[in-house]
Amino acid sequence: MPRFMTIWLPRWPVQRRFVEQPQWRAAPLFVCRQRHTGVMTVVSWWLPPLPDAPRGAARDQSGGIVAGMALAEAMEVLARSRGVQACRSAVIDPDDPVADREALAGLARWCRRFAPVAAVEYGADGGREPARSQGFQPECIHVDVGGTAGFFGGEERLARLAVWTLSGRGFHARTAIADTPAAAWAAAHHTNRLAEIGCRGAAVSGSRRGGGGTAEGTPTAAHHGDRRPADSAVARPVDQEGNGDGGPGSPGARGVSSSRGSWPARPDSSSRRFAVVPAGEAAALLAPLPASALRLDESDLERLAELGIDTLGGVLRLPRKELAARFGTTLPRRLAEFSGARAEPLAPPEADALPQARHAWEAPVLLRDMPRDILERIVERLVADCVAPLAAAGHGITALQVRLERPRWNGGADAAMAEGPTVIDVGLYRPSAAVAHLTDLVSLRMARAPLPREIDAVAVEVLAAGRTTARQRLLFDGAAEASQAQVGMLLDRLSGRLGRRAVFAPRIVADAQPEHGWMAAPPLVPARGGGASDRGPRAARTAGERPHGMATGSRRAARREHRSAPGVDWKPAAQRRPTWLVPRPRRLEVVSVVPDGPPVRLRRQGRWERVLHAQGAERIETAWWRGACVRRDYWIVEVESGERLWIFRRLPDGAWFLHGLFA
Amino acid sequence: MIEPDYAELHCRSNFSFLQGASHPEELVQSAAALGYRALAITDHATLAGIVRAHGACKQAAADRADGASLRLVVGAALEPLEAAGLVVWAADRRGYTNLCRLLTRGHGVDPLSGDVTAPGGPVTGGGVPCRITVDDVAAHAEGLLAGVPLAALWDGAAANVPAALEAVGRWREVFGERLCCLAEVAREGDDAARLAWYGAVARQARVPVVAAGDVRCHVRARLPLLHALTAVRHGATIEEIRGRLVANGERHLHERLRIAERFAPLPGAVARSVEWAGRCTFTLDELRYEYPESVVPPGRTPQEHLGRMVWKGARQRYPDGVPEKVRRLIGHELALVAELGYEAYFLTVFDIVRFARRRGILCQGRGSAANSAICYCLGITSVDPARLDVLFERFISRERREAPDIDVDFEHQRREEVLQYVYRTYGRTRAAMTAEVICYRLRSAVRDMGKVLGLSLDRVARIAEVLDVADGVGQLPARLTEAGLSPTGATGRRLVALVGQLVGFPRHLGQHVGGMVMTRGALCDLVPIQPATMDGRTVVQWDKNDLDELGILKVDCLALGMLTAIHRAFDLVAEHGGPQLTLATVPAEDPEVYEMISQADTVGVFQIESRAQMSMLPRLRPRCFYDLVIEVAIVRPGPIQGDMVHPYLRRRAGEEPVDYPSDAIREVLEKTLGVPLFQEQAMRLAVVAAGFTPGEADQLRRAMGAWRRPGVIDEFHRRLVDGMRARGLSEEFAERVFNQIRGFGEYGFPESHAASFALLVYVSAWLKRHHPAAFTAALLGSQPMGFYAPAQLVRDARQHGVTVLPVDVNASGWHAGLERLPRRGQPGPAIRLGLEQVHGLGEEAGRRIEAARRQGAFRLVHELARRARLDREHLLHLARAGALESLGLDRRRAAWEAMRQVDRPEERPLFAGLGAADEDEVEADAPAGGAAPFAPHASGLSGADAPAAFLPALAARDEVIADYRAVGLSLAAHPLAFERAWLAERGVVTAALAAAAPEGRRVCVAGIVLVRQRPATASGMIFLTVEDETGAANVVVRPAVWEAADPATRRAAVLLVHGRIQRRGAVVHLLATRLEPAVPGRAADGADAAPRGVAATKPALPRMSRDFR
Repeated sequence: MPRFMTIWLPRWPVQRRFVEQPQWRAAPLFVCRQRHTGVMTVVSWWLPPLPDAPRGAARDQSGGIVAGMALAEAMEVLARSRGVQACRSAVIDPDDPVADREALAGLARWCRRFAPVAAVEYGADGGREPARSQGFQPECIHVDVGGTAGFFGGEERLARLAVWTLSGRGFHARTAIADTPAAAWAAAHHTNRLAEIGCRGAAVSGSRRGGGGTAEGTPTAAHHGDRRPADSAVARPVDQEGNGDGGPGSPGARGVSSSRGSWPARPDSSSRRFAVVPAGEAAALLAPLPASALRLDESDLERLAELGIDTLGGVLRLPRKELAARFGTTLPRRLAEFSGARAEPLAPPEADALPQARHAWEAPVLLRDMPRDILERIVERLVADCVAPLAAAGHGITALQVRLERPRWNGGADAAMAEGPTVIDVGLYRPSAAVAHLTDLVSLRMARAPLPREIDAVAVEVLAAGRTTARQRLLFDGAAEASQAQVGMLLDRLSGRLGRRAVFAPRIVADAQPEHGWMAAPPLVPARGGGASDRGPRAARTAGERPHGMATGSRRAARREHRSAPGVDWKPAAQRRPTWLVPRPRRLEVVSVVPDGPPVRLRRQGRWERVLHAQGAERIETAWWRGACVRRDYWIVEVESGERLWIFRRLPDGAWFLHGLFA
Repeated sequence: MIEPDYAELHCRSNFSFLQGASHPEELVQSAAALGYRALAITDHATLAGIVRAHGACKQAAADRADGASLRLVVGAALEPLEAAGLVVWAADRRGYTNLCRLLTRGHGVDPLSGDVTAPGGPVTGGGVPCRITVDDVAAHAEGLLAGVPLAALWDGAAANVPAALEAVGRWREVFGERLCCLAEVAREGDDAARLAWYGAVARQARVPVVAAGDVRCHVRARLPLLHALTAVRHGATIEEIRGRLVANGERHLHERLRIAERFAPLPGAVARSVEWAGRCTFTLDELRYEYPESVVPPGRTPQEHLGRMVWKGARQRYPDGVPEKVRRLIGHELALVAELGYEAYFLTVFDIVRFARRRGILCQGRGSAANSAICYCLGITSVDPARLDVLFERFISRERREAPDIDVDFEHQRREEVLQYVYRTYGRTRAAMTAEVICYRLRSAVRDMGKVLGLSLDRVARIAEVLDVADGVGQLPARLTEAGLSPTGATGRRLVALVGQLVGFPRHLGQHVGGMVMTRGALCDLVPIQPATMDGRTVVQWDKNDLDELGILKVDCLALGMLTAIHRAFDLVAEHGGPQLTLATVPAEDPEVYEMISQADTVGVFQIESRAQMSMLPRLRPRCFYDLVIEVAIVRPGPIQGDMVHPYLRRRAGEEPVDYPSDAIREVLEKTLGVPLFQEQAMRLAVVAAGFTPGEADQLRRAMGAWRRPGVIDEFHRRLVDGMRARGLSEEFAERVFNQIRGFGEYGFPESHAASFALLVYVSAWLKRHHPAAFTAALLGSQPMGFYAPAQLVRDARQHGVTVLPVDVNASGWHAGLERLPRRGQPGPAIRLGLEQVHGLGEEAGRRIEAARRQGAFRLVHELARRARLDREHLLHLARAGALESLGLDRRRAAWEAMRQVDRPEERPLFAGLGAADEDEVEADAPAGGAAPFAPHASGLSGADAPAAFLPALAARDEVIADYRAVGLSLAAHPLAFERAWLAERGVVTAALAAAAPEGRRVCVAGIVLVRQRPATASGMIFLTVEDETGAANVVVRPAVWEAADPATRRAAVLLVHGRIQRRGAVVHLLATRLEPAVPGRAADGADAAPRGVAATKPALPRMSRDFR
């Protein structure tokens, strides 16, 4: 009898960061993505609970922040609901969906302790069309617990154990066990509601053991090593973390995607964090859940509402054969998955195809007894095993994971179970099939990672692969190609050593204010011509082609329109800008004769210098939309020493500053 | 350095949509204040802002004591294809004509034929561009001066002279000595290099170099707005396009001293600007408008023809002989018309009206010059001058030589025929629509500025939603707070500041609702023409104020919904056995009609159905036609502000003696009991009591309208009071008259206007009294119009004993119609609601259903879809409206069936030939016993007649709400009837009970909000009408109470109003003390803070409210 457990980690991007950066829990957190235009938008966020807020007030604490909002606006909203101080303390972290996915995949592997098959959920397309599921951000792990629940003392204990052990690792999870992954998914997202309607399995409430102790969400819990039972740790934070339980009227009920974003939970319901749906009873027990629990498209939900159907049970009652003509393919497929008529593979097929390799010792070995180069030799061999099948197909590795597995002691004591393997993730900027390079990268990371005391196996798994560019060597000129490949390797190594975020490429951004004239972009080795570097201008042009408010006007005309407004479309005067800007403009004493006129003498490092030649002024009045208006008159001056300086006068008060040097 | 003389020759106003950040008036005023000798408004390919600048210029000249005045140069900025940009100025009248023709051509209208050669569309910064080739410019270069802005050719390299020389040389070939180069610098760091380069290019091209500024705003402080507008133009946020914004605010009007400093390296450039401006001698005052020669038979002068037509008409109007008064009037008017040369104008209007009558289109002239005996005789109005006091000079004044003005109302659904007739008759070269400058209003400004500041679309929509009826910029901070944005935060502050500046900015040129401009010569010699959004229409670039300013004729062909309704009602009456009526043959002075009006039983009646009118009716108790004229005129802001309403009512009720200071005044005011109620009475007073000439009296009225000129109004005030005192009238009386005239300045009705409307009032009231079913059906078919939504019209009809039948695909036409019910004892026909009520269906689909049904009733959804070519969405709309009931399907079952249908059948040609086979299949599919018409469609699995068990049944209450959502009304019940139990528990009374409650009683009423009104005259008071199952209650809300309610409440569909009863005569108001939202369907915890209870899962009642200012 197949049984599946779904582990839901609400707001995974936030949770992942809290585990990696526990100190962030105390302040508002915004996970942001910078659009190519430079605008930061909020992907996910978290606000710490207000200390004096009544429990029921949780709902409105977000004040209307939603995913996709511009960061500036979210800040404005935050300022209104929490005050300016909250904005100042807010943590802003760039979005990293790859890391999110990888971390969740890592957690899924960790979950193999519950059963051998555990995998991250995938998008509505069934994982077969990566293009369609691009925007899909998984938050759930499915575990096939069919044969293993008995080892843990029954399904209920297993479900609780999962919550508990994850809680010990600092994660807030909700779990449910049911006949199919779909049913388990539905139950996991509505554990509270299930308890409310008296689901037998869920009757063991999270708070039964009389918890109400320390909030798990506070920064301390996970790091004191204070392992209280998960149940008691549950009591408070759920009010802020919530689930899709808010009933059909709550934002969470509108669809799968939006239930992801709804942090605030239904007030004043004591929270349940796991549920067990007994075999064969899913349809009956889960019937009162909202129809969105079936993971349906927004349009399907609307159509169901039209028919007056808003619960899962209502959907199940519809004549199955007539659905396809009315709802297309998604709804029937989801229903089949729910009932088990159609198997839902736990992992998309491609993932299986990616090679992995493992080396296990018969007995655990102490790492300090083993020379480092032996370990590296083993890794190298495993990597080579993984590369071989890929390279044959013209593929290379773009993401690789090395796990140093610790020994598991028989009996599965909880404490030991909580310790996962040491994971080393390596991401590459371009697919590579070079074993030496890959091994190098792993070694670089291994040198910095805290290694476990003893291990009993090393596993290498390819997480992502891509086509390596076919390199046909030219007879004479292969230099450009080769150097490009070498730049890629260099980048890999640098970021292996310094961390992915420390390696970036500066990009010139058109902005009148010099400090903002560049931005840090991920270093991209252009794989195919064009690439990301010209996205900015192109996007701006496309935007401009949309005439204001109207759908008329031809493209060509609009483009012409642009060129034709010389005064408005200002070209950044790059050639007049120095290549070296001082990090912060330095105060200068300057004498000028006319109020608005050129500088005559200036004092640097205590010495007065005569200005031989001054060119300017270039006036900027800008930046009012992101802060105070910046008003400056820039001059290029040549002083007696022959140096050419870039100085400006701050217009409001007439103070002078040095801002840059010409080489 | 001394201040040099300067003329700015390159300056864009905000009529270069989204490229300029100042009004033309602001630019002119600033330029005048800075002592510029001249200012050229050179908008981007448009002259739309030039008349405003012209007006401001004249004003500025009048305001200046020293006589040193600013001259306005007419010009435009052009961006010819494949050539350097150009600024052109009109040197003389010839040049102006050429400029107009050039722009007309550029916008895609052929100046010679008037044909549209390019698709039209609203003209915005990024909208329809002006396409001009070098050849076009060359063909129209005569009389134009031109300047090439060299800044556009500068690419940072001083050596790059040849390319620039080539560009300039090209234009030099076209313009010769009339070309100059414009030197423009804006502190971009390389000013010195630029100026040197400009000088070199100009010298080598042998073209004079002239200083200019490429001005975009009048002061530096507009820079943020300029940035924001640029972002709007690019459809991006400011942050996104920050690299494309001007780097500084130098492009404003500078002090002359600064200009001298700036152009010091180019000696002579500044002085040359004045010289070049001096070469442009053309002013808009030179434009002479000529009336079109209308359809005058050959061999006759227009004067003769008009005379003939008038006298002919007079004989028809007065078969028993023309009364002496009218005879005298006609003579006087004809003489005046002849003196001023307006014959063609009257003949033009006459021609249009005659066309409409020939086509059977109801029409009615009003306003302005319609107030005359000749218009009555020509059939332009139906108001007998023998009964009215006519002051022709009010509209045609010798002093001002201003265009007369007649508005003609046509049936709104047939006006297009009239417009096309005008185009046909006068040709596209001589007729075009008046433009309407669509300006930013608060909501649109918030939308655009919110977007460019980077607020999310949701938030912007939310702010726009919270904005209240009639909110001003002053309320914006409070509204931002409500929308969850801090108005004192950085973004909030910026938004408020930008919106404050942007409101009132022109946004694009639309077309005026009906103003037609006609000329004798080619229209595009006078003003550029461009295509309108609607196919087959062209628009001039000036709006009605601009045309007024220049004295250009226009005829307003307006659309009036009530005329359509009356026409349709006449037809329906005739179709169902009644007489064939016309406006003239409706029986006059029917006492039953006046009785009904006096009861304020006037829902749906033209003009007097508003709440203010309804509360006046029982007090006024109209008894004859002239009472209706007064009724129409009295409930207007003018009389209300002039405090004339209450004296009139008191005098009418005999509570106050009627006295007149003099006999002359008695003559003017006798018919309105000594109180001036009409515009012309107020002006006549000025004539008889203060010795004004009629023309002066009209100037006085206009001066009152235009408040901004304090000097002028004081002058009139003094003259009025002095004149009255000299005639022995008290100062107090004089002040009162002055205030009354002021009130009329903007908002008064002239008598003829009121009389024209009163006729429609009477006719519609007569229809309502005698043919309520036909009248209501006609109103339903003419929506949207009037004060009430279909729900209230239907309710009113049912209260008058009319049966109303639901929408049904097997019975309804597109419009509501009448049905004879087989039942005996039914006094009149029943109304069958039309498919037009089905939200979202659309007229085309509705008409297809109507047509397809002629071949027999529909039996199956399938069949309906095929025969009427309906797609899934159409069927869903019908299903939601319950219009498939006669197929045996309730709403949900119908929706279930509809969902099976194809999305767009017509796009699937494979099925085109399968019609017959398809039908067979359907027949076979039907169960054996159920083949009778209207049998429920059995689909696949479920049984034949039983409702599908898998679909939850719709509760009665939900049924009603579904009705409201899909049709806008319900015949089953009122939504509040279902809530009565818990409402009663909370002590909420019905509207009927409240209406019977004594004065001062505190009551609480719940109801659907029908109307929200905040009239400008009521000092911020809000008037709500709420309706429950027993009737409507009139609620008055003080501003404080309104603001105290949260925004959701203010917009709520259903309100709970606590308040006190106020009675005045038969009129009952509820003065609100507190408002709270009441969601119907919510259990007894109405006031609890759980707005997302059970009810939220059900669809809520839509907002029904109509909002008025």
